[in-house]
Amino acid sequence: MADRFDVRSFLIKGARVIVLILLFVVFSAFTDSFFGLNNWTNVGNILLQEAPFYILLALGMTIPMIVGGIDLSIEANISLSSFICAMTIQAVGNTGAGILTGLAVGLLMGFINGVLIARTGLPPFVATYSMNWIGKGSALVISKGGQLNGFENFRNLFNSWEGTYLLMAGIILVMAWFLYTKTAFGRETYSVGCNAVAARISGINSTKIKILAYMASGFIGAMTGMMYVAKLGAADPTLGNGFTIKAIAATLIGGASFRGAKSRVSNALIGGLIVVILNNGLIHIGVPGVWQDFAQGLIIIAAVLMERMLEKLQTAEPKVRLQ
Amino acid sequence: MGQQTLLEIRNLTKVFPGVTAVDHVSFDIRPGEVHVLMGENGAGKSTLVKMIAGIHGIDDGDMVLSGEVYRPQSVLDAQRHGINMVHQELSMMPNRTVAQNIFVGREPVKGKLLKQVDLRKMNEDSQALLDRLGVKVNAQTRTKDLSIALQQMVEVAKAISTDNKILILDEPTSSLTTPEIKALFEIVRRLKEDGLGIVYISHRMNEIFEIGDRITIMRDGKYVGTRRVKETSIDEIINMMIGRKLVQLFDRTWNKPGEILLETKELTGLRFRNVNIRVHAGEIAGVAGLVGAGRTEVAKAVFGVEPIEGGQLFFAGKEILAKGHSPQKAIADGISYLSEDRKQEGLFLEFSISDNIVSVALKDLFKNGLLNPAKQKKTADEYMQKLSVAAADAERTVDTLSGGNQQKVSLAKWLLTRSRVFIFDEPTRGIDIGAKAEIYALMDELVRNGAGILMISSEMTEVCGISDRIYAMHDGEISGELIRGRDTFTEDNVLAIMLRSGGERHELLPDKEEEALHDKGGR
Amino acid sequence: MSGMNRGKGFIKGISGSMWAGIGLIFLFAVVIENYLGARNVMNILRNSSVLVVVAAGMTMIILLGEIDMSVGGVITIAATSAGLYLQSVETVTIGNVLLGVLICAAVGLAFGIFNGYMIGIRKFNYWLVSFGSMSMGFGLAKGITNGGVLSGFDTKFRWISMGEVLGLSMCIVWALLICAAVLFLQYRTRFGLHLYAIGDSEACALNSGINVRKTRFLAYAFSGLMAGLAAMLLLARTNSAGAAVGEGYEFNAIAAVVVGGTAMDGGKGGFKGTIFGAVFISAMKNGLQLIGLSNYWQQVLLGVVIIAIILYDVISTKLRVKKSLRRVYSDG
Repeated sequence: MADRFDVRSFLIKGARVIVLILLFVVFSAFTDSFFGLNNWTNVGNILLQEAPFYILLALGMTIPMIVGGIDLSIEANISLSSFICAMTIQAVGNTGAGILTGLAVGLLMGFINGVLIARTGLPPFVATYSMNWIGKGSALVISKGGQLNGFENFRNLFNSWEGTYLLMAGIILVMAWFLYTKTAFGRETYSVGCNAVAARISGINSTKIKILAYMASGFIGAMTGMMYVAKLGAADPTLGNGFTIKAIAATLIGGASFRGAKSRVSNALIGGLIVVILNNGLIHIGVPGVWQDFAQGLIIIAAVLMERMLEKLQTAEPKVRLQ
Repeated sequence: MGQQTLLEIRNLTKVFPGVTAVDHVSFDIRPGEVHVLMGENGAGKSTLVKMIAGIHGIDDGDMVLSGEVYRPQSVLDAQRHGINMVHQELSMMPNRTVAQNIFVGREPVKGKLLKQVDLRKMNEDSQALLDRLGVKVNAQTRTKDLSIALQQMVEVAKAISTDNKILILDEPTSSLTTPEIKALFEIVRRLKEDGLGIVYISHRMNEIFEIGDRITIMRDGKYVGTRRVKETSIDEIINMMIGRKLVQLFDRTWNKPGEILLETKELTGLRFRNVNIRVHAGEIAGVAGLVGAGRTEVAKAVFGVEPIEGGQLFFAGKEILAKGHSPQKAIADGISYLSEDRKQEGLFLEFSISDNIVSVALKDLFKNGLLNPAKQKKTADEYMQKLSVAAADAERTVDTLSGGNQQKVSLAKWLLTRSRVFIFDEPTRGIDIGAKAEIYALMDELVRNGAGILMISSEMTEVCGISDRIYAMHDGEISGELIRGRDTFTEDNVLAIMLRSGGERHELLPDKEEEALHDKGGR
Repeated sequence: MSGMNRGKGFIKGISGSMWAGIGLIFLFAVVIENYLGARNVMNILRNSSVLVVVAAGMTMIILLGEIDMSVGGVITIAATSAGLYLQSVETVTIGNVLLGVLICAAVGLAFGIFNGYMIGIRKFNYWLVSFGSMSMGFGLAKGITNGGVLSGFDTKFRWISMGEVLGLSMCIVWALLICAAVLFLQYRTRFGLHLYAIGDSEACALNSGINVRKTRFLAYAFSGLMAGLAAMLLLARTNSAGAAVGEGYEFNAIAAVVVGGTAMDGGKGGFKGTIFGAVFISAMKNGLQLIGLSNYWQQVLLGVVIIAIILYDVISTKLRVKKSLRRVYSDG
């Protein structure tokens, strides 16, 4: 957690950054198209157009993981809030109203998740799994299965400057990082994740903290969904499908863990970047798109092996366990 | 009690990275004896017995069991040789039945081909075992439905369910109260008569003198000496244990009771009713009772962790409403609660000492909501020093500390909140004599400075030695009260009010009478 | 155990969520004509056959307190491998069919052994390893089919699911046989009891001499095998293979297990409940469809139903605990 600075976790976290750099270097060296000193288009494209989404997805999954939970309803959230946002824009004609509505939907879904989990005691898996069905179904019901098109204005708002997506993702990321590592609230969140009972006895409102964690995930999911709508210029009720697995993959690769208090915001950033660079780099090396999922699986296993190797290298720590 | 040797331990040594836990220890165990093993936390007792039980490997030295070389390769190997251990932390499987627990790993099977587990035999055999020991439990109950005392006895039953030569008991009574301990001792005596050699680790002096035949003391991994219990004294033992004379364990300044800090009137909750207690400034109010009497539930209700269903709660004269009561509110009002289960409820095991120390007073220390590492470090170092927490530095994680030091960290975090009432729930459970004395001293200092302490404890000597008054609870009600100056504090007197049930309503003395008692002296 | 005790034990073994589920099923029976009629029941059972087989393996992993995220991916690659093989043969013989089945089982087992080795023996993190296996499974399937879909398999092979024996579809028959075997394995063998032991208290299991590594290894290997067999049933039923056939099965299997009363921290519950869970989910989907709701509303209500079921269980457990605590504790 935030302040515990021991050599081992630094090495392990640093290792992932090193891997990222290595990947970058290898892909650049072995291809012409990935990156070159004169050729920034590709990398620029990744960073500006793809990475922000992946990173936010991973972040939305990471925050509930801090409190020892999981959010399987990210898919539904993305679909539902983005579609309702689009509907609102079409109905009212005001982009701001659309965005606010979309965020409200995301926050509401997160709130419901949080209440089901923290107040009623439903296991996070069950609660978010069910909410996923409810949310996806609702999106389909509302949209009657169809898409909404014609959001050129919306899209232009975002695309006026090519760095918009990156900027927004960056702002959210920094805010999350600050909140969860530098504030008392963040410390309380980690405390709840480490030991919810002890947290309660320490005067922390565990219920409130958990609900807020899921609401944060809901907020981020909504933002991601709306950013997608802007990028595509259209709203689709099945937008989010398949994103849960992507989110989990990204954050796990980034080093997060489903054990409470063991995940950090930086996991989402690193994991998202690695996934994006890897996917893109593999294409440039010549790995056919159809083999990318397999490559991702190999990477995960490799990451696991690497981490174990690093742990072994760190044998010096004398574990003096007093009886 | 035969004179021949059952197990001979010669120069047994165990080295962990950075520390020699057991350093060439030699002694012997005879059949039919209760051989007590004593020493401070960190002395090496647990490591030593774990080597005997096959949990740890042997680095140097050897053992001879009934004349043959004994070097267990695993727990199963040790069990095959007739050596079993009951651990300090109960390792029962809560959702499995007693029978399944007893036979785990060696379930009886029938049928050559399919190897189907013979459930009936399992149930019958375990029931027979329990009956033989006089343990009144149905073998098909799930262990989580049993009281801690009964779980402990089931563990003993499990340990002797195979052919036994030696039984190791590691602090078997730390969660038991007196009547339960007596029942356990009965079982131990029966086993003694059967010729078993029993190794008994404990911190409780009175138990050692009641049940022990010989006692071996270890210090810093080394063997100090062996004595016959009948031929030694508490002072000699303590001297051998810590290498210095211990100043009196319960050294209290008896203060004149100040204002009433904590008061309950007919407090009723899920597991208790009509509880009337008072804690004055400057006093330690002990709460005795059997495990399950409802003491912790009262404490948790006062602290806002569990709901209050009836009655009233007052802090410094002001009523705390049941609705909306929470730990947050209790802490804001000035109440602290040190849980009896410090590992599960009192500490964040994976956090550092420093993070644990600031975990309650977060909002006070960091008023604008932002963490301040420098301030945290300064505060942590200050309190580590104040309470003499023995650790390399404040960044070590709490799970590496001994029980006594963990308790001190737990206390440190509450001290930061400037509470006026401290609820200590089993404050010295599983802590060695040296650390106990330190904690008593800290408690004394707290009340000397005007705080009030409500102390739940199952250890008689502790309750009698350090309390200004003793409440007893039985079956969810206050069953009696002893006040220093008016009543004599002996174990028998406490037991008497602890076991009294029903009827007689417990009324608190009016203030004037209380003052008179104090002035009368005896404090 | 005498007959009476067996009966009582069985009733006790029905968790709160199951009672709630049974209640819902009766509700549907009242509202929908012939909901519990033979034809519809067969339909429901057919639709749950694949899920019940996957969930059988998942149950064991969850009893350990872990989850096997790879089953979806394993189903996919197993089905796709067999599918590719079957389509490579000119005319399909019984021997080909048997080999196809063997391929399914072998692929599943291979992944299971990999998982079991990494997680059980080498003690790597179960989330990461099973997730990695999942990606590899899906990924391999996508790669070797070039992202395409295979369809149209020989009727001889399809008989595995679609054939009929004694009025029961073959997929139901296989599912029943597998269920019987798993029930025995889980409740009547040392292996099964050890699963509960490890999930309840791994420390205790270790101290009691249980070979925890071996048990874990076997559990994951078994889960992989189950996924392989499920793939066989799925391939024969849906008549198609490709990169997406197994999608969602990991989550659905977990849901079936949890709805059936097995808690995710392990040590409690069991396959009996999982069978109910799988059949119940199928029954719900069936009922919602028969009521005439659109596909979209079905999804919504499915989510609501699952929440309701587990909620009932959680709340009734809390009330029960509260009530038993109220009986002031007398020391025994």
